[in-house]
Amino acid sequence: MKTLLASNPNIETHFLGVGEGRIFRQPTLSQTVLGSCVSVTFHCPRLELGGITHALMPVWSDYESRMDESVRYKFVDSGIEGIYELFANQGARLAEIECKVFGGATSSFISQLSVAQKNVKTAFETLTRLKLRIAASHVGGSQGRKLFFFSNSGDVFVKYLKTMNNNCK
Amino acid sequence: MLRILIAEDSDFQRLHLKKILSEYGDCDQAENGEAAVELARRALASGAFYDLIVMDILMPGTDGHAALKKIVEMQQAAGIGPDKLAKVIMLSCLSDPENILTAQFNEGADIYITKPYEPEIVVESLANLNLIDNPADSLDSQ
Repeated sequence: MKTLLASNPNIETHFLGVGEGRIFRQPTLSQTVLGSCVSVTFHCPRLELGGITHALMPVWSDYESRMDESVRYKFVDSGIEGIYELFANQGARLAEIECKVFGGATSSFISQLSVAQKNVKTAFETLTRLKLRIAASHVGGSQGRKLFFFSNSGDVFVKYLKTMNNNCK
Repeated sequence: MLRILIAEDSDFQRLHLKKILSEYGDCDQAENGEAAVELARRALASGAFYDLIVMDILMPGTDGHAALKKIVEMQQAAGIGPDKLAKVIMLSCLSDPENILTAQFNEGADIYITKPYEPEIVVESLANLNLIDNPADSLDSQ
């Protein structure tokens, strides 16, 4: 880890909250904590541009009648669309954007169609619909996750939490 | 050193994976699902099971989904608890939601990587499975 930080001496830090989505033009180490929520990371190597969402519900139109920036990143689908638009505005081409999906932990007593699984399913469906490349995913299981995302490299390191931790931070 | 099983029908892909993973462990190789299940059976009988299984999906005969299901069932039948099961990376050119969801929610894959991939993402996955030093540990303690 010292190597990672040593190679990014001026890296900024950012704590990503629930329902937040951001892109970073400067190298930034973003941290977030997930239970059943889902984070999608975006990276464009050419621009060294990174982005991340932390959504707690799957589809915005199931809950809201109008879209604005105050609710966009609470939902998996609109959050992904939002970051994609921001990437496009920065000049990122579709084919050079690499996405990773994390989260969606489920307590064992919850049914198959839990919010966690719907969140993950919506993330994959939305990324597929937008033709964004899913490089990797680390989803499901029964433990929460703490994520560390390096915006300039796209690296994501995950630490499992001891419990499911439904109280995302 | 880790004990690693690579199940992949493409000679090139198998070689590529072995080159990446050999730095971290000893790699057994299977050309299809049946061979992977057989190697898993032998490893289980020897008492030294794999730490990591890297499984392709599209293989002749038994595909990666079916092979992984059998290998997980074998471990469970041997009394291995959920926390002690071998870690699994599913690695496939299939990037549709159904394959990714099935692998991770129904079959016990921990991570799904889509081909083509860079070696760095495999190493990142090893860290995230705590099979090698995980940078998240030191970041979290700072």
